[in-house]
Amino acid sequence: MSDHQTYSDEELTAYLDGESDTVVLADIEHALKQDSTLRARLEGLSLDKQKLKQAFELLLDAAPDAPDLEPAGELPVDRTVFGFLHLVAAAAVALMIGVGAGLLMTGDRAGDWRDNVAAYQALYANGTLAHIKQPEEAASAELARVSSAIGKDLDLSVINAPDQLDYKRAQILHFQGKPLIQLAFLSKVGEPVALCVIQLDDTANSKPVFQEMQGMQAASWAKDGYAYLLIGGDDPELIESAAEEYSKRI
Amino acid sequence: MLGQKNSHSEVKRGLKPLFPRLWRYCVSLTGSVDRADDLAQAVCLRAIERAEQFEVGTKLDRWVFTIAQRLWINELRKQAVRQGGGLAPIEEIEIPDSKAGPDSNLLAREVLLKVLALPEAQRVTVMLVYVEGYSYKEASNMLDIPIGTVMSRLSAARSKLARQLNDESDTG
Repeated sequence: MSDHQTYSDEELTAYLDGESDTVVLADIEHALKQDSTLRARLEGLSLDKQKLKQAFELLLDAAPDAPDLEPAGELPVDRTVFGFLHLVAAAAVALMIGVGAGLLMTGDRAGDWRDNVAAYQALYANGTLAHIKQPEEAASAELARVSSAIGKDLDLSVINAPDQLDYKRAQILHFQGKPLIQLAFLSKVGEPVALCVIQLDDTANSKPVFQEMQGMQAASWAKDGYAYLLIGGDDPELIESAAEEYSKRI
Repeated sequence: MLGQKNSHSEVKRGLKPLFPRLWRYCVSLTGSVDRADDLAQAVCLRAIERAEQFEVGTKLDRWVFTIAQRLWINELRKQAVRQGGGLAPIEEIEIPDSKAGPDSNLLAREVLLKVLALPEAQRVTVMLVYVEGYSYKEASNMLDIPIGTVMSRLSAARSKLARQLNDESDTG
């Protein structure tokens, strides 16, 4: 090894990280003893890894709870736990990425999107939303951006109207290439509830219809070319009163 | 069949304690808390769906983080780009007060925000090697990039962070 050997920043980085598989540590050590310029360059790459680790521990404390991977008492009788999770997984991933996913996504009946939303909503736990606290201005801007994806301009005061629901956030999802918006809430008892809206070409107006989906209370209705699904929790009164309010005001 | 059962139960048992680290990795992948929530959930489901591919006795965290990386790059990032901005920026993460007191908490927060402000490729590599402690070789396998790319990402990140953090300690 020549005394004039120069090392790249990448090699100096590997030296600092003690990556003996990547560089010969002793050679760099030797060169550093003799070369003040190299020492200065090494200084310019210094990083306190301990501080970095401590900084990232803050994120561990801020992490939400793990999702409930086995929703108790909601398993269809003819499916195993894994079969159920497969189904939910496929529905959720397909919904999130907006592509068709085989049998779950075939057909174009209006009912299909609701089944997929219900499967997705079943994955939500209190911890999915509890940490979200948006200032009113940010929440309002987000709602405007998200609702414009389906050609609507929803107002935060309308969304906030039912006092049993605490509004958290809005997201754009896709179903069979069509934008679908999800407004997420927590109920007073901390259960996740979602209002989902999609634009459908030939939907006749209909009043809220109530049913149980994936073990949750749900209401669906249609108005002026849009289909709505309000779903979450196990309190039928909450869903009924919120659905009445939304179906009148939106 | 027994092997499949074991890998299923190992994945299911391991996901819960791993979840805070998975979520943290998802924050560094996506650069957003909201997206990290969605990605971490999708990763859990994908991991259970593919549990039979997990080799019992190998590191579950490495396997799950690799799923997160692929899910983000191949599927969810495209959607995130399509959706555009508007998600909660990193600054709005609610970080609880650390036991070490408000001053050191402030410093740690500052360091965290600086790292998270790095370009995605750099912050993810920094996360895997410096925070999670993976070797260059492991990180190169997980990110599916050559070791030389791991080195150049880390050296670029080091150079930027050394400048920023040293400047601050000089003036502050």
